[in-house]
Amino acid sequence: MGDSITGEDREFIWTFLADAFAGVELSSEGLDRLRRLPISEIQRIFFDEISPVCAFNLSITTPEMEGFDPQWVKSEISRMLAERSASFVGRISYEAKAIVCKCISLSVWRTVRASIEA
Amino acid sequence: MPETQANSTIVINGPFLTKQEHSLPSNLLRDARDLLEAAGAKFSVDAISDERIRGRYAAGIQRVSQLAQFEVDSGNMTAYEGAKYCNELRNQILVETRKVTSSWNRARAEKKKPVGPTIEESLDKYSYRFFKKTYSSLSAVEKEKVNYAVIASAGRNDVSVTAGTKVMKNAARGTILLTAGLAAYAILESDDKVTETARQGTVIQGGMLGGYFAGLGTSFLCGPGAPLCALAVAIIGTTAGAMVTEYGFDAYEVEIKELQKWGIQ
Repeated sequence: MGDSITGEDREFIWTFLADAFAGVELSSEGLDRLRRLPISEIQRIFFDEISPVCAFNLSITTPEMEGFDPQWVKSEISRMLAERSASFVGRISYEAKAIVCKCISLSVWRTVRASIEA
Repeated sequence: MPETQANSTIVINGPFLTKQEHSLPSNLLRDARDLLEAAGAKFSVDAISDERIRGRYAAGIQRVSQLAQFEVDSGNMTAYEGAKYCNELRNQILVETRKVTSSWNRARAEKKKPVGPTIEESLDKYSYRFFKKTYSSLSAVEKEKVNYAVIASAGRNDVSVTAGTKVMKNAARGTILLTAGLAAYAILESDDKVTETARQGTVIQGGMLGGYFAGLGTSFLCGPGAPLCALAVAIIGTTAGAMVTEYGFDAYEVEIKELQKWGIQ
């Protein structure tokens, strides 16, 4: 984990970028804050922490289109990370899910990255 | 053949036939391939159907937003009434959409979001987003802004819908290619290509029919929000359907060949 990212920054990235999976336009204030953080770390958090929780929205018939509830995003990611480190089976299960979610989240990440670098 | 008795056990010595060939009761590899084809066909059809349903859901939600915006702008309802109207209609569309969704995808959606948000939850979500406090603690002007946000939400763009539709389309295409490849291979390697083509079609249709009936019983067997159970029931239903039709086709193969000769159009 990158040392330059604080716990507060990390939670901000979770809730801010989760909305990218709901098609909500990312605010310029939020993007400005992201620009101050290392892009490699943002990418890691996007694929390892946000994507496994929010990528389901890309493949269900009734997607969330108004943005995710920030509290729900925080609790779901925290729960997933706790399960990942709790057991070997949890780790394997997480890794399998993360690979699938990474594949289906690539187009969302490209959009996010383009917005950050614009 | 000499026989000896030791410890009340009969021991038989002598030459025995070895290196015999034994045929299996059925072609296990072919059966497994057929079942995989049937499951693949069922899931690709579901994926195509769900992709269309997703598009219709998004269009419905957007239409509701635009309709409410028009009514509020025309002065026929207040911003709060518009937000409430939007919320109720969106939740109704969500319920109706899930009714026609494939069993596995319905269970996934129910697990993540069992029911649509109440009007209070929707208002609080935007209040938190804009002002970092609950709707009830906002001023009249701030409340108005939140009301408009609830109405306008989801009517803005369809980026997530487009991205998601691509994901579902690709999944469906991949499964169709796998199914078609397996069926084509089975037909090509068969001596009787006409019968094998009929057999492949029958097994795939049987599998899809089995999957459809299993889908009807998913809610009863698994309850809401159990995607793994729903997936298992769908696989079992598809497999059972394919096995039954395959058994039927093999049992009546001679009769089917005779019917094919009749050339009934």
